[in-house]
Parts: sequence; C-alpha cells; structure tokens
Amino acid sequence: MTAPLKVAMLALNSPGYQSLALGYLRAYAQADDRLKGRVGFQTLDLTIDDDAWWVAYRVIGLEPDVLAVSVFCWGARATYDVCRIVKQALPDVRIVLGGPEVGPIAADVLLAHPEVDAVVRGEGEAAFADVLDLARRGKPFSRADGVTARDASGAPLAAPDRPLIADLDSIPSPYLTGVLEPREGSAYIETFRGCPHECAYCFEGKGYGRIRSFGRERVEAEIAYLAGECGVRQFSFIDAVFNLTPGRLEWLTGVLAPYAARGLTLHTIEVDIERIDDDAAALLRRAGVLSVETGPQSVGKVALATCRRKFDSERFAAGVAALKGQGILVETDLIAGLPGDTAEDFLGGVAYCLSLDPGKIQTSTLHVLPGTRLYVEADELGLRFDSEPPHEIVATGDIGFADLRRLEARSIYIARLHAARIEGE
Amino acid sequence: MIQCVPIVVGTGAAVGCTRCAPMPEAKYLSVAEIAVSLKGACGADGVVLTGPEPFSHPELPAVIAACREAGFTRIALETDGGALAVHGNASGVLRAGVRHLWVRVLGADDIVHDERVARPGRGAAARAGVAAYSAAAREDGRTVCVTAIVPVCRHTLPELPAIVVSCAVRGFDAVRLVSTGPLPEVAGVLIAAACDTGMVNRIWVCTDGLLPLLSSHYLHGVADGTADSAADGGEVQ
Repeated sequence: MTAPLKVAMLALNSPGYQSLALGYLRAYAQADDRLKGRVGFQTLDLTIDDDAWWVAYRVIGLEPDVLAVSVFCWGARATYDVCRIVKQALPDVRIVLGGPEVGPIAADVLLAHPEVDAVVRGEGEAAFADVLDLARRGKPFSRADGVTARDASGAPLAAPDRPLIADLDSIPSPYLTGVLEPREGSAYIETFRGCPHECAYCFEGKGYGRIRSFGRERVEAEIAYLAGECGVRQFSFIDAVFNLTPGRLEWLTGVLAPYAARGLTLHTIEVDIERIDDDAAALLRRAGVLSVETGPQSVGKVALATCRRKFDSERFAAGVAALKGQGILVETDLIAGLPGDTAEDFLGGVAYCLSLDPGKIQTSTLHVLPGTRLYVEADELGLRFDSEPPHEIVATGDIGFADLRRLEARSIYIARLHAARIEGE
Repeated sequence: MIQCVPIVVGTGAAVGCTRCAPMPEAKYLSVAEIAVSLKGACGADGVVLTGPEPFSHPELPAVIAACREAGFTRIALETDGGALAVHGNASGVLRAGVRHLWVRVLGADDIVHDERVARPGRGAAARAGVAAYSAAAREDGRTVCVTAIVPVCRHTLPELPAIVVSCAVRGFDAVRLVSTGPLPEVAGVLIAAACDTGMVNRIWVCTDGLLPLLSSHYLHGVADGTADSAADGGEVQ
C-alpha cells in the first residue's frame, strides 16, 4: 500500500487572525473521495510576526510531500522566504501557493520564485483538491484547471480557468467538520462570496463578478456552533458588505440576536453605511454588532470617479449618526494615494471624517493589489508602486513620494488626537 | 482639524529658554476664573491648560474637573513634564481625564535641557514623567496623545533635528515646533531638516504658522491640535 501523501498547509496571518482559507481548502479536500485515506494534512496557522526560519523549521519537521500556502499581501514576503528555505532543505517538496496575492499574477510569481511549483488562480477549493490528486498520482499540476504550474523546462504553463463553484454549500464547513477550531475574537464566518461594488483598488470581491451565497441553514448552523456549542463570545464576518440587502440583514439579526442577548458581540464588520438608517442600525445592534468598518476611502471627486466608487456625503453622515445613536463604534477608513486625489483631497477626507466624530479614523496609504483594476491600469493612471508585496504606493501623478509619507504620518497623528479622549466614564 | 483651545491657568509662561528670556513669575487664577474661560471655549474639540506650569496650580484636580463639567472630553496639559514623575501624578491626571500632554522639550539630552530651563534634573524628571503617564495609559487601556512642544529660538534652532530624534526615541506621538521670536535666515533650512528627521524616525513634526518653512515642506506647516491650526499664535505668554 502506498504511503499517504503528506500535505503541510501554511498561512502567515496578521496577528490576531486565523486563516479561514486553509479551513475551506482542507475541509473540501478531506471530503474528496479521491483523497480519502490517501492524504494526511497538517495545518500551520501562524502569523507574520513569526520568524521565517522558525516557520521553515516547523514545516521541514513535518517532511511534507506538498507544502500549500495561502498568501495575502501582508504575509507574501515572509512566505517567499519560508518557501525558499524549505525547498533548499527538502528539494523534493512540491510547493503550491494560492490566495489573492498570487492568483492574479500566477505566471509572474513562478518566474520570480523558482522554488514555487504551482499557483492556484482564483477560488481554490476544487483546484487544490485536483492538485493533491495529481500529486498523489505523480502527475503534473498543470493538468488541473485554474492552476498555473511549470512545463518540462520549468516555464509557467497555465491550465484553463476553472468555473466558480456553483453551489457554495458543496464546500464543507471548516467549523462543522472540525477542521478549524474557532478562536475567541479571531474567528470569521462567511455568508457569501463576491462584492456588489467594483472599487478599483479593492480585491475583496476577488474578481468573482457575482454574489454567491452559502445556504441559510449552513450559516445558521455555523453561528450556532461558534456562539452556542463552542461558546465563542466574539467573532466577525468576512463578508464584504454585512448589510447586503435589508432582508438578509433582518434574517442575520434574527439568527444572531438570541446569542447577542447572552453576550455575543460582533466587531469590525464591514457595512455599506450609506444604506444604514435608524432601523438598520437598530438591527445591527440587536445582532450584537459593537463596531463597524466602512469608507469613505476618499471624498475627492476625481478619485471617486476613477475608482468607480459612489459616495454621498449626506447619506454617509446619516449612516454614521444612526450607528452612533445605537452606540455602535464606526471606523471610517481613508486611503492616501488614490489616483486623482491631491494632498488637499485626502486632508479634506480627514476633515470630513472628523466632522462626523466617528469612533475611529483609520488612514492608510494605497496598496496596488494584484487583481485590481488599479494594478492593471497603474501606468496609465500615473501610479508608481512597489512591485514587491504589499505593493505600497510610491507616488501618484498628483502626490509625490515625500508628500505621501507626510500625509501618512500626519493623518496617523490626527487620528491619535481624535482617539485620545474621555469615553464612557 | 482638531482644535484644543488654550485655557491659561495663570499669568506667566510655560517653561522656555532662559537664555533668551528669564521665566516670568507665575500667578495662578482661581478655578472660578478658569471656569469663565472654559465657557468661552464651548464647542471646541478640546482644551489645553497652559500658561504657567499647570502642575503648580494649587487646585489642579478642581481645574480638570471644571473642564469635564464644561463638557470637554479632550483635555490637555502643557507641562514641563517633571511633575508627572512624582508618584501618583501620572496616573492621577490620567484618571482625572487628561488624555493629552504637551511636554516642553528644549534640548536633545537632559544636560542641555536642564541648562536651557536653568533647573537641574528637569530633563530626567520629564522623561520619567512621560514614561509613567504612558505606562499608566497602557495599564488602563486608555488612548492618550503625547506631543513634544519645542520652542524654536536661536539656541534650540541648530539642535532641532537632534531634539526630534530624542523625542522619537522617547515615544512621543509628534513634535510641534513653536515660534518664540526672530530667527536667523538659515532657520527655514534647519526646520525642514527637523521635519525630515521626523519622517525618517517615524514621528510627525509640525510647525506653527509663524515659523519659516520651505515650500516643499508645506504639509508640515499646520499645527494640528491647536486652536488655530492655520496660523498658530506662537507662544502663550
């Protein structure tokens, strides 16, 4: 009998987060009849603060046949370091990457990183299961749709795109299958994939193009498992827009409210704030929501138009007021360096957010992420950015390098001035 | 942006360079007199208790309480910082409601600072005081903002970049350079150097509207947190 294929699954998360992606990938692969009893999994859910050599030590100790890594922009550099070290120590290991940082630029990743054997493009569950089946049978990974691997000469070879999974419920729940143990404060639930907006700087929709939802029964079961059975008191939703539709918000509130009444709280969920009125704010409160994260990202007309982002200052302000009326902390986000924004536009955005007196103002510089329209159109938009992850903006046509850094430093100070105050005493 | 209105707690001045001018004698206002000023500041984002050293006010707790009663949630103290090192003061003002410190810094190290304020030991005391305040905030889980106020005179001017570095090392959130009077022609270049030093040491440096600033550095020319961020009035005397 052939020895099972040993698969190490790695994610380097921001501290305080756990990888839902690894949970999905493993749960899906474990349920695949081709792999049952033939593949053994080990998950290393670590953080970007972990030293690359120590992470490599952990991986190498597992002696995997396949190392699979979920890669986001913030952990990409460390991921490449780990992969390089692991490949030197274990030349026969086959390294497969996936995730939003690498999927949209799969061929470029393979060209730049000889230690990587394949990159899964886009939605990963089905493609990854195919890759493991091919690995088990000693076949080239390029036979899996949705995967870019290497040909005999080592050059990138892209298999055809893979259609999206039509029925998301065919992906076993990582929580309900016991693959992913929810951690207090860092667990996430996903109720749908995609995003109704098409903001040019954002890849939360991951290019899926349309909204696909998990079944209500499954979502309810996950909530019951986390909040009921596991007794998790605080988790969040990974959905790009929590208040996707009024009906959905009402349904989710109905599911969450009994747990919220017993102490469940939800933090930093993302909302479309311009669609929040007093009733929606009250629903969010009943659902246990204590804080939300929202835009406006910019108030500059040119940047908003270039990024195809809608913004109505009055409706936005009304949404903030409604949430504050329910005691929900609102985190308003602004991005410095969007195409078309001047320094004054950005500072105007800071002033606008301050005028609303939200719970928190969060500013950051633009990251030109693979897969986004800004990444594709950077040259024509005059965007200069670091080609290495996390792809931070260097200069725009309207703001030079030094002024971008100044805006970043100044806005952090202003946010601090805003946050330092007596609250609830 | 955010405006903290100055509320003087007496006649006199915050600690400055004694080589430029001797410190005037301090005389403190009553809580009732300060409360009148607080009424006038109604609607502002916050207030800063300034003028002579607020920790020497005989009724500082009552003054802070008056700020809170007037509805202010952002209360700042402009101080030499030394009194914060006295046991209980740092946590005391924090818990009383002070969330902002404006700490006067006149030298890149303790010896120079002490020499300029003509009071031995004040630099070390200020360092210890700011550290105690920040530690108390961390312990209580409260967000505070600590800004270094650097009076720019012909004595501090050449040393500004080094002062900025020392403030970065000490954990200040920002450095504000404030005008004290006429400066030599090279001032604009040295002030720009101080701003650039802040950028590479990850600390924001801003200037009041009266200091000369190179046009390339115009974004540093707004003193956030002050009552008139577009054209700060310089030193409160």
